[in-house]
Amino acid sequence: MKPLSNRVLLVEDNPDDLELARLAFERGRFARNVDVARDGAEALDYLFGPAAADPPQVVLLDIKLPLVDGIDVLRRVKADQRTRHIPVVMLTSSAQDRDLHACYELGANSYIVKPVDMEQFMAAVNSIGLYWLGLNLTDAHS
Amino acid sequence: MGVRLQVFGVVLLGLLVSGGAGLLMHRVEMDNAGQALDRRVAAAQESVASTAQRYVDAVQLTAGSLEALPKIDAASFTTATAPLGQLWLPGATSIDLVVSVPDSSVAAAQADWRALGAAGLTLRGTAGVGRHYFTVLQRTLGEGAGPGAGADAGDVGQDLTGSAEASAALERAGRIGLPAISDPYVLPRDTGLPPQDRQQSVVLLQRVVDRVTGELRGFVQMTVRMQDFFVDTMLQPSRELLDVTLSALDGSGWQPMARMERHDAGAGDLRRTVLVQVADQQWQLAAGTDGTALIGADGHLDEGMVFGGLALTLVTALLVYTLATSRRRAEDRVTQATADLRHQATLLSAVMNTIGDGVVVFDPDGAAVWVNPTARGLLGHDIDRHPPAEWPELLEAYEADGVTPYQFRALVRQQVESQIELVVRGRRLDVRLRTLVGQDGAGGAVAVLRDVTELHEADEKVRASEELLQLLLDGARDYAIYMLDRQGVIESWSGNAERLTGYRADEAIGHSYGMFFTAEEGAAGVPRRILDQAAEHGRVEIDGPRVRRNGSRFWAHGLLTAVRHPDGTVRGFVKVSQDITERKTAERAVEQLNAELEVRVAERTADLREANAELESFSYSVSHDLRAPLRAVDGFAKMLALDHGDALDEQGRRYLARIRAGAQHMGDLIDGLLAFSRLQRQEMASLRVHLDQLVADVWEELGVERGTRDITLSVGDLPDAQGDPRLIRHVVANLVGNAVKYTRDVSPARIEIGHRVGPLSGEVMYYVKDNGAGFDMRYADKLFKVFQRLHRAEDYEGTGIGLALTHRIVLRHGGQIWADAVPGEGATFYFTLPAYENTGHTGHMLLEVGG
Repeated sequence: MKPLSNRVLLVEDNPDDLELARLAFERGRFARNVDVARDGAEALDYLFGPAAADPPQVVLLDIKLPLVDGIDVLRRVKADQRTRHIPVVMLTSSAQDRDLHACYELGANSYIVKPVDMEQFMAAVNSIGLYWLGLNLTDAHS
Repeated sequence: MGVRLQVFGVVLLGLLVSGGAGLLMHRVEMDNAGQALDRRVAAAQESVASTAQRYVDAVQLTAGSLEALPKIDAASFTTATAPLGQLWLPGATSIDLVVSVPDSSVAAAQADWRALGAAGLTLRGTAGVGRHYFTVLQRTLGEGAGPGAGADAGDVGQDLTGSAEASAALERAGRIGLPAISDPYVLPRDTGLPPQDRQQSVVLLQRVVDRVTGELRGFVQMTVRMQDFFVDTMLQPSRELLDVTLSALDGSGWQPMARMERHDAGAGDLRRTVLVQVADQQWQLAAGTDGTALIGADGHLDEGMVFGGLALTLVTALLVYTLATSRRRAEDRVTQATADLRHQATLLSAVMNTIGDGVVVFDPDGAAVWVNPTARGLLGHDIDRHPPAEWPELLEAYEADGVTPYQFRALVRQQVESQIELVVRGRRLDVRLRTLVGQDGAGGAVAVLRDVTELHEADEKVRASEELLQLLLDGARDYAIYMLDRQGVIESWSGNAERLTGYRADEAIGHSYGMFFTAEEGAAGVPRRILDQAAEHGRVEIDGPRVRRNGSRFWAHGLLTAVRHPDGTVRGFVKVSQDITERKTAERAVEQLNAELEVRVAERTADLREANAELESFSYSVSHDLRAPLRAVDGFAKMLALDHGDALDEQGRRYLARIRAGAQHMGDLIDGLLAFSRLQRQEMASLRVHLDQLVADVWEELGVERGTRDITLSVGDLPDAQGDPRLIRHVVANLVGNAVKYTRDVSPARIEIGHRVGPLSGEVMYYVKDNGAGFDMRYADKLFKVFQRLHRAEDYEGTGIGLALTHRIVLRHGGQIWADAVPGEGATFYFTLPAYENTGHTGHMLLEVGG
């Protein structure tokens, strides 16, 4: 069995949101490495480039992104055999975001209303069934 | 025997009466004749006197005008005597100037008068006379009179002393200064005439003197032939019925001057003699005549009476004889005639009393003398008992128009037949009047009266219906109406049909109506088929192109209705055609317009979609981009509270909480706006909505807000509605949520949800009522507007979007929403939705929500 990566990819262009997410992970003592992509193109380069062999355990993907939109990134990830198994959690400004519907149809696994905090993150992780992340977190907490 | 005696008696009586009457008549005649003669003689006397006086006046006037002349010469004499030429002086032959010349100066006088204008004057003095009286100037009068003076008739230059009668008159005239008349004598100029033409004449003389010295200047002399004078003067009074003689007295007694005899010389048994005073002379007028001459045409009345009487006697006797012998026969005839007449009268009376026509007989004066019962009934009065003058008032008869009072006119006395219509007592009478003319010209008239009221009304009805039909045919200008026989041959035609097709009646009638069809349709047998269909179905409507006479086409709408014989077989068709070319054109235009409109709508819709899409992406990015800074505010405030809360005092921490609450409220606002704008674009479902279930769900969801509060909810029976369940759920959630929110300070709170039948059919009205804070109805108009709130945020939180959204949802469902509230007592919100219709579409049933 292929060893699990201990990395999470956070795709976010807004520095405030990015900072708040880091703060949340820090406060939650989230042990994994959080790699950051600042736009959709960068995210795709990361996923289909050097990290292709060792994909992140989960991708937190903002819907609105410069250059390549979050939905397009999602579509490409879920359309590719190599990456389609990577869980993707959408980051949105509103739970009423009409794009969420589209995202689910494209294969998104869950969503978080920004700002990202640990409770929402854990709820999303749990809903996906990434229990190891929870364990890992428990380890980290403990 | 009796007859002879009668005749004898008649003859005897006739003789006696005739003889006596003749004698009596003679006496009367004689008396009458004497009186008549007296009257005529008096008239003759008056005539002679007045006529002679005119001659005397003429002489006096002439003398007066000559006296006024300073110098008498031919010219002035002509002027002075000119008026006499204008007078009617029968018998007067001339007017002369006579001057006295001593025998010694005759030659000188002749020279003098010649110098004074008497050209060629030759004075012929009487021998042995010391003083001569010469005629020196003369104007002839009467027939042959001319203006010339002194150039006449032979006695100019004559010496009057040659005549004893003239001399005596000269002497008197010079002495008395007044006109003097000579005794009659034959004028010297007349002595050459045959004895029967020779007349007695007189001269009238008036002296002319110098008005200053009184010296004698001469005499004016007028010569008058007495027979001519007399005949003219007597013509009127005598009338040729009298023998009249005019005489003058000379030394030897009455000398006749003139005589006029009556037409028929007779016995002359009546005579009268009267005197006539003329100037200084007295004349005698003697008249004589027969007693019978003056009366009647023949003057033999007395004799006529005798002979006439005799003749009459004879005739009478004859008549008496004839009458007596034929009386019996006459009596028989009269009896027979009377019987015949009675019979005829009876028949006539029976006829007149029974016939249906009224008969009135008028006498020549126009009075009704006989009226039969029918006439009496028609007129309503016994007009034979009233004079014609009373009829107008009695009958109230009007002329045929029923308005103009009828003027009764006098019957004409000619054979005339006339016919009039009268309206009497509301009935229309046909009156035929025939005047009767008897042998003597007088007649009267017979009037035959017939009640034609019903006939007239029937005529009127027929006329009215014909008029109506014509009006309809003409009035329906756009419709051509004509008749076809069973084979489609045109039987009747109208002006509108001509207008529509261009064919005249003579070009259409007798031809098949197929000529209006296009050649293709005609060849395809369309006209024939249409007739067959109309015959089968009773009527058939057809639209199609038709051809006018000039070849142009029009689009016709036609209606063929079969006309049937009483036995049901088709007799023909009524064809009503209408030119609907314009309508067709308009329809095509509308179709084209609609097509264009659809294209435009499609274009607009596309535009709108595009705009909507743009708007959506705009509001999407707005909602996202607005949130980002808000997240930063809230996020870092949270971090500040978590990480550095201990470093802040209580007030600092409260401020942080306020910052976070503000940021969250702004997030709610953005969510609300987003939902509100999305509603505009969202497509709506039309499904069955279970309001009662919806209310139950919403109540459940409001559990947190309700908490432990004491709220009584009563939900009545709520019928299902038709609409979008998701949107209607928002409405219910909003209204019930508001009720919960605004009853926060009331305990116990009461919320009532129910329905009533909507104001419009097919819709339901729901209401949500609470006993909460209510609001002031003055601000009700702000209730449903975005961001408009009726309560302060510190009292009741809210975005001001919820009711606006609810309002919009209800409106989009075609419903209405309104509220009723009292501050401090509560509010009731009403809204209407389409009632659910069980259309049986199972597809809808599968999509039911809330069950």
